[in-house]
Amino acid sequence: MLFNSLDFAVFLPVVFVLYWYLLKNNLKAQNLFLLVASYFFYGWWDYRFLALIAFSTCVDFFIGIALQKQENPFKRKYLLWLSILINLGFLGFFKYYNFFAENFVDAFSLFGTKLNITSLHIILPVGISFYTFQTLSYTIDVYHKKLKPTHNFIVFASFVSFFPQLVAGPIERATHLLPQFYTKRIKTHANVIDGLRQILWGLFKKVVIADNCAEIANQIFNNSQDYSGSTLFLGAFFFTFQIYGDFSGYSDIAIGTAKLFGFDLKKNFAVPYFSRDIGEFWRRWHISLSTWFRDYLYIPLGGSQGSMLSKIRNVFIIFIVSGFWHGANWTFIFWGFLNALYFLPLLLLNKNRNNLDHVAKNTILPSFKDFTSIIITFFMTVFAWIFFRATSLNHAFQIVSEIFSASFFTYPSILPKIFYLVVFMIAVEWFTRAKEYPLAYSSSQTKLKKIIDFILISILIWSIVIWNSNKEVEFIYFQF
Amino acid sequence: MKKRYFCVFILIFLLVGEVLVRIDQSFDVLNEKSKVAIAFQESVLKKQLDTNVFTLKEDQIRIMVLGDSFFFGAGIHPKFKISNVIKEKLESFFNQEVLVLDLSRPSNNTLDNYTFFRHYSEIFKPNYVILGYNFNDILGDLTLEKSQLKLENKTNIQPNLVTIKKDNSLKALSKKIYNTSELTRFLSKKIQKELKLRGYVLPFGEFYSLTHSFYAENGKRWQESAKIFDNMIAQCQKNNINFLIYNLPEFNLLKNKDLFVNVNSTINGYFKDKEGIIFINDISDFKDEDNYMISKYDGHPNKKAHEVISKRIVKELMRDSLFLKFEK
Repeated sequence: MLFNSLDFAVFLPVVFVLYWYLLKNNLKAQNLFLLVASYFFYGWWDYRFLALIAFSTCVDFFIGIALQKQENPFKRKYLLWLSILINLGFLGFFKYYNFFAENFVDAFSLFGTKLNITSLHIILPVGISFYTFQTLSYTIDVYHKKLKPTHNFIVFASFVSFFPQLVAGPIERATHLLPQFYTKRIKTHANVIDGLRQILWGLFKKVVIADNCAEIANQIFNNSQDYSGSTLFLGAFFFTFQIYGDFSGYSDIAIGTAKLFGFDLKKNFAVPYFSRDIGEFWRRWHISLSTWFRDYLYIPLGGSQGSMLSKIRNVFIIFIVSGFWHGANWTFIFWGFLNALYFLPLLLLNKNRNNLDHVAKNTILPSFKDFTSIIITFFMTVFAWIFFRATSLNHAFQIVSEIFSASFFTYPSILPKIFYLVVFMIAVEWFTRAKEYPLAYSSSQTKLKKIIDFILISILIWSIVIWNSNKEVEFIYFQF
Repeated sequence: MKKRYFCVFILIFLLVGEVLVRIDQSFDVLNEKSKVAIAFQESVLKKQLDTNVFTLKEDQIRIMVLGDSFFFGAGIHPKFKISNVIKEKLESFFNQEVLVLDLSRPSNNTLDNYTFFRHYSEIFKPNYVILGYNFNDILGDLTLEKSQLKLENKTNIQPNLVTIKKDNSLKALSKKIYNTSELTRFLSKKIQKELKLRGYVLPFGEFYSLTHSFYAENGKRWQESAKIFDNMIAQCQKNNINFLIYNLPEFNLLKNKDLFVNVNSTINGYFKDKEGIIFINDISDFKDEDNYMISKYDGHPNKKAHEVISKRIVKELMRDSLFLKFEK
């Protein structure tokens, strides 16, 4: 069920009431209930997917225990690789079988050999890319003895299937989320209010910004041959905010929902479009995935240590794999490659760790230098998103070539007024950039701040009522 | 203190809502109006008729199309609307020019359609008249005599002035709030739309009246509509014009057929008895009910629906013996 659907609007309060008022302080019962609710939530999409997540849970649960008992380094490594192969094997089959099959056939046909490999009609289980990485982080951390494996199957299964973040993240580390299932959860007024406020902000970004930008972006991208360079650029611009509103909106709803149940999930987006360079962008965009790749792929490969060649190799590997994680299409790989090209100069010049703090930290407006950096980084990102959104590389290059033609200087044929709502969102995020999220709850506020807070909440609620796109549009990242 | 803050919040909440609704109405933030925008262009054929330069030829196929925004093609590119699609299909079949005079106009009701029919059938002399009937064509003024008055005098009919008594009742007060507050009107319409999509109708408002009392067989409005249709059918028979009526559903409510039981019962009861006309009231053509609407809250047909309707109309026309004389 989608977070912005009536089904979820009924599901959440029912689960909330039962969790806090029926099960009260019984931790075991609450964990079991969360497991049941999560499986119900996941099964709502397609009950057949439940078998896969259950199997993946069992494999990693038992491998975790076996790793603890096993002292022989070769056998430990064997167990780790077993977990990796099973998890990535399922991911590879469901997500990438057809991609590899088709590309093998194409590659061999270049040499005049015709292969007979049939494409399969495979339904991609929702969230597989997310929960697979989540369970992998568990076995890898257990292997490295950063974490003791749990012997409580209910707790582990709840951790894997925890419904707020099951289908589109944030990808939680076992070291952060798993202990919370052992800790008594306390319902506080502040947590509930904070959770609801974050859900509201997430809904606004998803329902008002993302879904409405999607209509425009889809119209332009799906009929790209009919539009001028300026209009195509607008399409890329609106897709930039579609994907941000969609994904960060989902993350906010997930984090807010988790708060309602006394759980703390990690921040997944930190106003990435205010980044001053690509290094900063990747510290602020889909943080849970980029840190996962950093910790489990980039650092084991050597990271930024070693020779120049190995640094360059590692950067390309990490970004291309990250692109490939998003989908089985050359466009995603190219998008990753492009980001690697963006990042490499920063790494080689040792500037990838600049800009660690918020832009314009103690001022209202950024300096001219920061503003220019933000604009340049933003447009580099917009350019890369063209490849992410296009249906094929040919499609992407067709769009790019039209954008960089004389038709870029013509008046766009579409000028959607949703642009003003995007500006509103940017303004709110700018003035609250130091906060965890714009509506972050504070019990101590002056009267004036309380009134401004009331007005902002009212604007968001009414915006959702008035300017929702009238369609239940799936979150983009569900397809990954 | 908490009560005061609560009251202040409610006030701010309602004020913000009122402001945002008014902003949306003034600026159409989601470009909703342009989605069903009406690109109105007078056709060359109509101009010729209006300026008396149209020449009737013996072997012409002349089709007159009447209807409201549904047939007009609100929300889609004009080349995909019914009159154009029918023209294309018939021209490719007969390999000759087919004249299609599209007189459908947004918010036309039955009387407006009849007025156009009466005026243009005399000069255009159509072989076929295709009328797209919508259940809300029963709204507005249906006084047949006013149509004749319009045709003779070509003047606007002034509404009768009625003295309004001052009413201090709760009903009057709620009506006043409803009329003053854009927010109240917006919420009321939104709630009704959501309920409609789920097959429920609140027992007040225009939609309720349309689907209940207006289509009562002995209801005044239906009787006036029937009188207009009687006239149209008689004139078609007199002038040897074939008459096809296509009853258009609300394309966002295809799943909620039950809402229109009264409407369909009355319309079917009337038209099925009429000899010499082709009457189509069949939603089975629209498989995958979610794919024919402009949007969830807008019942206008989209491009796909126009194509399906046109195919059905052409199929029915092809069965007609009158067409045989045009086949080569």
